[in-house]
Amino acid sequence: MNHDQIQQEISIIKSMIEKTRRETAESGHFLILIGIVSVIGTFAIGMFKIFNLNYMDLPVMILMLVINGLIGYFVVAREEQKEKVKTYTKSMLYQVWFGCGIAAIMILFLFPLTKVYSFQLVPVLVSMIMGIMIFSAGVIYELRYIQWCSIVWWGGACLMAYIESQYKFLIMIGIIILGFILPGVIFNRQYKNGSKKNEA
Amino acid sequence: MKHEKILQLNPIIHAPTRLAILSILITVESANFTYLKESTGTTDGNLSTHLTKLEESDYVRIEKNFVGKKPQTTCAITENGRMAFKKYLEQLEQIVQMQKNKI
Repeated sequence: MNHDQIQQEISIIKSMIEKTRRETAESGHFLILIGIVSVIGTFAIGMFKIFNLNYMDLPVMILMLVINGLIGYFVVAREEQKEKVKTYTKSMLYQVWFGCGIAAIMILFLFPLTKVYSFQLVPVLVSMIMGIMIFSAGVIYELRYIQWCSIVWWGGACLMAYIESQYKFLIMIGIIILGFILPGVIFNRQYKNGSKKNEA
Repeated sequence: MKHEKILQLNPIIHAPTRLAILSILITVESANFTYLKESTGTTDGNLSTHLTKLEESDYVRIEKNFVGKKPQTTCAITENGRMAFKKYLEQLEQIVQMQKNKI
């Protein structure tokens, strides 16, 4: 076996591994879409509070949950079905997201409605869970920028725990933009760059 | 004697298409037939032949199922295939090292 043959074999291995890695990048659509829905929902809840329409909180939260569930189904489950390649990385990411989603639902509905704690604490606890979710995504995909975004969630949780204001929802909106939509955009950029390279 | 042993690369993996298939499958949980065809740039028949050979050697596991109404063939590397590929890479590395030493 000569030098050229070896180089050829190595280049086949390298190009196939790189192409597959690009093909299996996370699209970020899920984070962007649930980020947008959450911003709108949080804004609506904040406004209802200002205008003393507190009874509207629960219906809006349920609506957000249903819409995010549908996004989860159509974006994640259907994308997964259509995917030509399945990776352990993506499977692990979706399982972490699913687990954090279940925890967030319990924090949002189960415990406040059964009076374990007040609704005031919900944004703080949800932010902590979302921080774990984004941090895990960054670790799984080895993206430091995404890991940094989790600090926004945890820092935001501290802020919301100690600040008492009816405009607290604006902090939450900022957190969602920096902690959900921004990582989604970063994932999406990588995904698009990878697709372009693969097409080329 | 040692020299000869090192140069005997696994003939099942040595073919470029099969090497490409295993290089893809080693990094993923599973890949479908269409993806393997597009990535390796082979025809249906050619890919099918190579996959059968890999399956016969217990390097690849092939499953046929339906996604909606469409039939889909999914391939995944087996533990044997993973070990064989690892060994193949080690052998390649040894050959490179030997050639470097010669120079």
